Amino acid sequence: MITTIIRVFIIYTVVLLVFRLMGKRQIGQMQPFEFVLTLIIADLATLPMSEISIPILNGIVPLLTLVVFHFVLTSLTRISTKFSNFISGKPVIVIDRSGINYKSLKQLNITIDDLFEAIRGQGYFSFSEVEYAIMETTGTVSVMPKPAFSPVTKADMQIKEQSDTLPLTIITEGEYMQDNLNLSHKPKEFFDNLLKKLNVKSVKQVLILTITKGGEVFFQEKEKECKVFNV
Amino acid sequence: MNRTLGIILICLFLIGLCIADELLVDSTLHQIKLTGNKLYAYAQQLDSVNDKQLITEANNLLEFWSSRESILSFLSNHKDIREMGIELTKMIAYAKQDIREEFNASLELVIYYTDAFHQVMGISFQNIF
Repeated sequence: MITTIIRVFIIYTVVLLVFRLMGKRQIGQMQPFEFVLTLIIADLATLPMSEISIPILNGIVPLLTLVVFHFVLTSLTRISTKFSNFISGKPVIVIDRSGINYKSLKQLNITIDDLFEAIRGQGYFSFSEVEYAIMETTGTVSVMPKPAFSPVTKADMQIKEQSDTLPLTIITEGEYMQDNLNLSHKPKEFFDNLLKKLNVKSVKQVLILTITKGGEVFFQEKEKECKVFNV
Repeated sequence: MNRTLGIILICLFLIGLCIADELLVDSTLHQIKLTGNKLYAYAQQLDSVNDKQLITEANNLLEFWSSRESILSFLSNHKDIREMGIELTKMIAYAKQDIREEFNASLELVIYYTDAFHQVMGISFQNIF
């Protein structure tokens, strides 16, 4: 039994390494060949985990070989557009100004209902609201609405933009984040004093404390309500 | 850059493993087949298989297999490897009991396993497809 546990740990570590080397992508963002690769990896990993008579290397070697192939394939797709189009396909315009492109739908093997569902998923409930729709290589549909149905932007309203920075998380679950503390250009004592002012006895009591460049602080103690204020 | 380095390391690991696999499996199987054939030829000259030299040679073969078995377990299915060990042990037992037919059958099986193992594990057109 201990052997199985150790084998599971080793294979899990290798699979984790394999996915890290493959890069971060969600299932919906995967190219078809990446999706197939994920399924194969899942299948390969389970065999030596459950079957002790199979050497662990019989599971690890195919996994590592797949990583190398994937690396070669993605490198080639970056180098050659033709190869990339061959492997991943090209985005296809399914709706344009003249309406639904039936030829493209047939080519993509999708029905009007599938297209309608994808467009509804983007927040448009009628084909008349859509100027262009493009089926991406990942299988998602990108929609460009007609001007009358596109959301109003700040630029449309001529509202002056106020650039803001991302809030930095200084304390999370009772721990100071050293990297973010350095980025905030404020000493640790500044936040220690802030906690004293907020009647917090120990940093361990803090659930989260974030600060923006403008000095807006979001603070919450564990099992208490949040506070937002400026410093 | 880190990813490229990782891929290079993986490639080196795979190449090293392939070379080790080929050399180790090849040399082990070759040695067993060679000794097996010698034992077979020697046994045919004897009136009784309960021969001191034959048993010593068979024991040496089993010892050699046992020393390589643990390393081969890293590369091959444990069930396949176990079969070879079982047959070698049986062969020695039959020799001690002077059962010639069973001794010959076990020895032939050992030689057959080395061939079969080679055919299944080696690089060949049939194995790839």
